[in-house]
Amino acid sequence: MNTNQSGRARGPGGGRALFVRGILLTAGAALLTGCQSNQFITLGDMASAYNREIFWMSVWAIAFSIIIFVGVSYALFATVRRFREENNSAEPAQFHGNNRLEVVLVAVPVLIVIVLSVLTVRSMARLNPTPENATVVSALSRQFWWNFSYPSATAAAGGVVTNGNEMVMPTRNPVAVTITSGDVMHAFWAPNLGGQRNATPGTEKTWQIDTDRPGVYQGNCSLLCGASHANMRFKVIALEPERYNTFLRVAAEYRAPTPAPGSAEERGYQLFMQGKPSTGALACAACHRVQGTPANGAAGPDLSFFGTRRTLGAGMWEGAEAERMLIPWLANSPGVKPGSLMPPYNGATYKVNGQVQKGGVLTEQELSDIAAYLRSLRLPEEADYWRDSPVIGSAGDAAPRGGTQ
Amino acid sequence: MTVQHAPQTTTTSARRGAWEVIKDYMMTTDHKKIGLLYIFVSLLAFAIGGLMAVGIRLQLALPDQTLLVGNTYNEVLTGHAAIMIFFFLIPIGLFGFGNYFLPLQLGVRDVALPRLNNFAVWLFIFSLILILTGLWNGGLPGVGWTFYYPLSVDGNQTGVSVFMVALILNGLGSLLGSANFAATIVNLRAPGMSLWKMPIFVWSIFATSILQLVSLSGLTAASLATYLELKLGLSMFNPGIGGTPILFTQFFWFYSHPAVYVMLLPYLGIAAEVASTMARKPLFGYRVMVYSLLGIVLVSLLVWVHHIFAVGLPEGWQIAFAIATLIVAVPTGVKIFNLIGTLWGGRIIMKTPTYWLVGFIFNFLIGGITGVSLGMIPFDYQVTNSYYIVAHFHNVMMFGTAFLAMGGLYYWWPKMTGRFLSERLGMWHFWLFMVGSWMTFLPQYILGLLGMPRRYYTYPAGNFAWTELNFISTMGALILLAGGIVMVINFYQGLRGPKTASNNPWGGYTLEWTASSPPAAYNFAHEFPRTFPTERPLYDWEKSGQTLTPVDPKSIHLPQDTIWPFMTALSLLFMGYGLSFGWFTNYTPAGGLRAFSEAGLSFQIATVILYLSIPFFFYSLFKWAGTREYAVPVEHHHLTKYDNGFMGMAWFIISEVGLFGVLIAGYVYLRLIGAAEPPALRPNIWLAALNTLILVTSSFVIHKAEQDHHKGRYTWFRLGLLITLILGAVFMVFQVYEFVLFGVESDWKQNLWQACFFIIVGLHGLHILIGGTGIALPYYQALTGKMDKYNHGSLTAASLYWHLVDVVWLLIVAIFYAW
Repeated sequence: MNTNQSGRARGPGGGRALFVRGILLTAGAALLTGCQSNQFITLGDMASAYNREIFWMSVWAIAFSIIIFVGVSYALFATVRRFREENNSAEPAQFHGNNRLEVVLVAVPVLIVIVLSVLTVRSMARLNPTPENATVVSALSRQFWWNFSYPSATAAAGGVVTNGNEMVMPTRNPVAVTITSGDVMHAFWAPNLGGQRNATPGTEKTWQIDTDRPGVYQGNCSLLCGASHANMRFKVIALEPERYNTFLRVAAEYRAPTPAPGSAEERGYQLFMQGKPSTGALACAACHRVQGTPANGAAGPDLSFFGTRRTLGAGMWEGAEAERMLIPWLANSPGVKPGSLMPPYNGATYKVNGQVQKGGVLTEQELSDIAAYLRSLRLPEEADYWRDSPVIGSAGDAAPRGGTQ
Repeated sequence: MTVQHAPQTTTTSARRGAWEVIKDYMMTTDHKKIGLLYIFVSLLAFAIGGLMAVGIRLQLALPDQTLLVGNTYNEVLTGHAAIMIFFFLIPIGLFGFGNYFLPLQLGVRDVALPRLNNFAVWLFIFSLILILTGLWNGGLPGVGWTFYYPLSVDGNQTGVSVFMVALILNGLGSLLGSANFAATIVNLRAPGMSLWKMPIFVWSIFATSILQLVSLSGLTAASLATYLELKLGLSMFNPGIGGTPILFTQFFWFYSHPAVYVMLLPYLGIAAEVASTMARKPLFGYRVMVYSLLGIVLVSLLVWVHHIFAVGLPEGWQIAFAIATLIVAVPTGVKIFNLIGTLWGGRIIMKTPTYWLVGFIFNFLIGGITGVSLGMIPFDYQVTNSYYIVAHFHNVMMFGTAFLAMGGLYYWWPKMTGRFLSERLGMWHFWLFMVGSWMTFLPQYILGLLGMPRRYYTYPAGNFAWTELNFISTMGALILLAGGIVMVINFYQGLRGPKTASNNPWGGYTLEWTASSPPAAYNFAHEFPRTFPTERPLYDWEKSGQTLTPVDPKSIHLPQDTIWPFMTALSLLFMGYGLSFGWFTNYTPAGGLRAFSEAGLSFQIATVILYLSIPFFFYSLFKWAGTREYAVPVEHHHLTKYDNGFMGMAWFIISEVGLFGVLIAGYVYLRLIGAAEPPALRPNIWLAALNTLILVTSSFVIHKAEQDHHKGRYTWFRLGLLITLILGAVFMVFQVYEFVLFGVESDWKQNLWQACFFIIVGLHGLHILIGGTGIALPYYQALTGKMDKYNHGSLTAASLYWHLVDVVWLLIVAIFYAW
């Protein structure tokens, strides 16, 4: 019975109009309310030679895409329009194909594929070799944080200069990042600067990123790595080469300041180094490194320049928010960041290797002492990479968003 | 019993109790009921997966939402993907429509191995149930459907082992189904129908089945290796002992890329059927379309690396795979052009199936173009793992092939139920899905270009346009939900009301339209003319005036219903449950080996279930083997000289070769790069040589036994089988001895070579057990007098499998004992 209905005649017309209106309204409302953006993350950032290369590679692909899209969809809709039974009462000719047309329809895609292959190979040849003058940075990814170290900068206090979750790089110079993972697979992605590379445990891979424009760029882990995959972010701060060199030199000479006896920082230092065995509070130093102190742990991010950093929890909080979250973070890290492997210090439980364990206990005073010590871990002013570094894509205000200090 | 009841069941089926219906589906060998089971369960899975997707979108509607946080989000995400892929898109096209329409289109009464078909469908259903049992055993896995190593063995993850076991069981069902289709196509077609006269849908199922058989081994290898690491600490990937996690991604994508085409090819077949019927025209370039199907099968096996460009493999490899990836555009383009060519010049019936078809072509065009862009490696480095990818694969899956799943339902619904779906609701369904899909996924392309990574449960406010685009996307998902509700209403209504559909409501040209709507249990009460001038027999016969010859349904014999394939599958559900949540020892990767008494109660219960399931399995299997397929002696017709069992096994063996091939390739790679070095003390070659002798001898013995059976020397035949079994048992005794010795000598968790040895040689040992069981079946059939001149039981299949096991052993001796 339904075979006699004409599906076109009823129903969808009114519904379609309604939906179109609905879409426009929602989109409009969303755009009006949500436009206070302060970060423009895009792989169309032409300040990066990498992105320029893929743009010019893609121009041809985009052109072909538009031609094919328009051509094929026109052919489709024109065919349907012309030959639907309402418009065409002629008995269909029973032909089985057209060999000449078939050959053309194979040949054209083949030609396009050849052109695109050549373009791909050419871009690969330009992008993948590591230039000799490249700045070398090592990236270590763990659940759920990053360590960026500078193999060429040996610290006077031992070890190499390393920063957690904030990567400093020079502008106008290719940066060769060598990445590996300490546990599961992760991936490094800062779209404004270049492509992704997976971090695989037991394997080191090197690729290049670059930018011409100084500023703060957003980076993210892009390969599912567990509960806080979405909270495994980082910042890349690109500095003019001279400033970058200053940063590296000063960072290499840096030793964590010795707190004044009796100060909050001093109490925090003691807790940091020794923990509080009587309440089961583990020492921070067991997992974290602080350059110029005995703290040389490797299970957590490097804290040497913690006071200079403006993000917390691997980019989970920034600026004033990071400032505000420091105590809650120290008190119960897995409570505020799912799956965080740092033990809680307010007696809460957390999960390690599937086993529920109880964290140690520190008083609020003790937590704030540790926070005070952490904030004191600051690079000298001339090496403060955040100073005057604009957030890329923000509405022009350079770094107005506070800091953890 | 069906022999007598077959004509009546269709008339009395209207008023049966629920239990009667369920029992019928448990015992059925009818490919149509099995097809309906696949379709029903797939649609149920589509609903579950769809609701999960709505949950995901609600969480992402605005920044910093708290509906699904952290690993909970990951669990929903994994569930959504796994259910949509393995329990909706793959099964509904390949096995749902495939089972229902392949025999009908070939003009035959059933698939080659109807009871195996019942086993396969229940294995499929039980693997879905098995995954869901994870819900009360610690939760679903939160590792993504890709279960990348080493996240899959991360101590904080739960539910990974059940996911692995369910994938292996689902894969087994899938392989059996695929082998069954291939055997059906080769062995059972209407007399006179050559391969080149088969309907395009049959070709698409054939191509997909071959692809499944060749490639599924990658997934099985990946899940097996992961499972063995979870339960025994055997690892091929552990970087701590020299393994490499990248090898896992190679295993995984070796299947999971072709899987994309398993989710595409059957639907391209449906698209071609719909286009030809609705345009009232022959296909444009039938042969070219078949060649492009086969071309896609071939090329799809050579592109998996494009999923892991960002891993950073050597450039030469990346470029080779990138070019292969771009080449896929050629046969895929041909399919699209030829679909439009089929519509061109027709008198197109604009009904819901046509709308789904046109919607598919348009959407797939976008998905295809964005897919080509992903083959351009430097661009891929940027957008892989981003929302661009999410948009792309939903573009080709959700509003690509799933549209054709819907189109297939609207197209064949009258044939399957005798009723029509409502056109009015159908149009609502279509437009809600269309607009909903565009709104959900097109913004995600932009999100990807704006740097939003996939699989993020949250995102901060303030990134340019992220909030707005995510919000639009969520609105789209809600529209899709509305479309889903309309769909359910339409399907529900489409099962009620009077049966008004004629045999051929759309004017189709293929043989299924000569059956009644819905078809009787025996499919056709007529025989077909023997001439097939083109792939459109009904059109040709009408032109030439040839007619169908009526057949008395009472003279038709169908396989008898039996409960034992179902029971065998049920035993595997229990075994799977036991293997997932229990184990023979109390081992965990984090905790190591501990006393069994220290394990939790649920672990101990699951282990008891595991032990109990083993006798249950063997009992059911032997009961199955002991039940004859037909209640009365039936003369079988096949197009080749091989019986259906042999033919099915011959196709199935491709997958076994693939499984060993993938694992051995992994081992050889690890060996060549110097990561897997044999320890000083390793299994003795002399014992292996003795075992080789035993196994080769057994191959000759079973061959002789087969000959004896042919010549009617049944005593010698039984003796031959018994000797083969004894030789197999002796082999196993030696191997167990060797394993125990080697396992005690050194720690397999610390040596990669040893781990590879135990995984691959152990898997071969398992195959000896399976093959031995396979030989025990005809032996049992012979002992109980079920084998004679006409009944070969499962002899030829068992014998062929045993030869395979022997050949694999020779390879193993070469690479593990001699090298």
